[in-house]
Amino acid sequence: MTDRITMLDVARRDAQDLHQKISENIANIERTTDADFKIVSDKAHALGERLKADAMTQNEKVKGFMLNAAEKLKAAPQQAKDNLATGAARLKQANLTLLDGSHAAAQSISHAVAELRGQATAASPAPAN
Amino acid sequence: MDNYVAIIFDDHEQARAGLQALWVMDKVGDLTVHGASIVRRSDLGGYVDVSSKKTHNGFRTAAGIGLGALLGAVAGPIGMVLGAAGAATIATGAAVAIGGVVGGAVGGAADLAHVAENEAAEEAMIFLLKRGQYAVLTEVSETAEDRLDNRMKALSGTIRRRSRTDVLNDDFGASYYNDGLRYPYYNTYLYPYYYDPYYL
Repeated sequence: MTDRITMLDVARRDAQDLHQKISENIANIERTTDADFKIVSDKAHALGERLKADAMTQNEKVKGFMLNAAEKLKAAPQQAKDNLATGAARLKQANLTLLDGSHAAAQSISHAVAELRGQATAASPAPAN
Repeated sequence: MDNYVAIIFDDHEQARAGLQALWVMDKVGDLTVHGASIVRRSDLGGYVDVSSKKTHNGFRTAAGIGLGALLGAVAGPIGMVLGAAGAATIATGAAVAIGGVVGGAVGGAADLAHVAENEAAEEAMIFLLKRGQYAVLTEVSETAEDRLDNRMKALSGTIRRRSRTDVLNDDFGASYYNDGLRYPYYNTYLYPYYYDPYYL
């Protein structure tokens, strides 16, 4: 149980870092390049793949949250790329799309963390009086 | 249990300390924070500002309507009507004013007159916040609510709490909250990590 919580804590931190990095890109949009976008986009996709694989080791409820997060992270880069092709303010729009995906993923992972923490609490013996 | 919580403070430093304490509680496993933001109600005019990060605010769109609705939702069904209406006067930390009253709130305001004498409704009318006050708005999962209550009480915070199920079902209709995977739009405005709150 501890290993599974640790693994999720790491994934949650990665999603939070990703969100921060994307919001920094947006804050500095005039200096943000396509290469910067590709870096965060690839990170989002990789985290999504990792969550999808790790989800298979979890029980159904936790798995549901993790797969939901994975889906958001994997879909956002593709949607963002679609925005890239549209032209005006393209890079900002693409980063905003990625921001939405990372935000939703971070929250879904935190729900998975909460679920596992709750299960750990329920499984631990009650303190002696 | 998943809850939406408003923790009300009298000044900015208390609210900042409350936000920090909240994330420390998450780190040590006392509860799990899914997102949190600080809002303040101004002394003058009663406007509500949403704090943001110093860099990009991390939100796709102006946060006022979403957090106004959530503040009201924590107050209960009456507050929801007022929260949405109040969004007309809410601005984000980026000072983006929200124009217009949310359509549903206009009709709702008439119903409100019938319960105006009710103390709960009166309380909801000020969106839980008096002028000059701050609120940490958060969504948390907690197994023992007294942990958060005790910690925030020690920091001079006052807690208002409603279950996520109740808020979402009230806001989006019965049985909205069925698989736990749905996230209402106002969750977008709760930061998924600690940030240094900043107001323009």
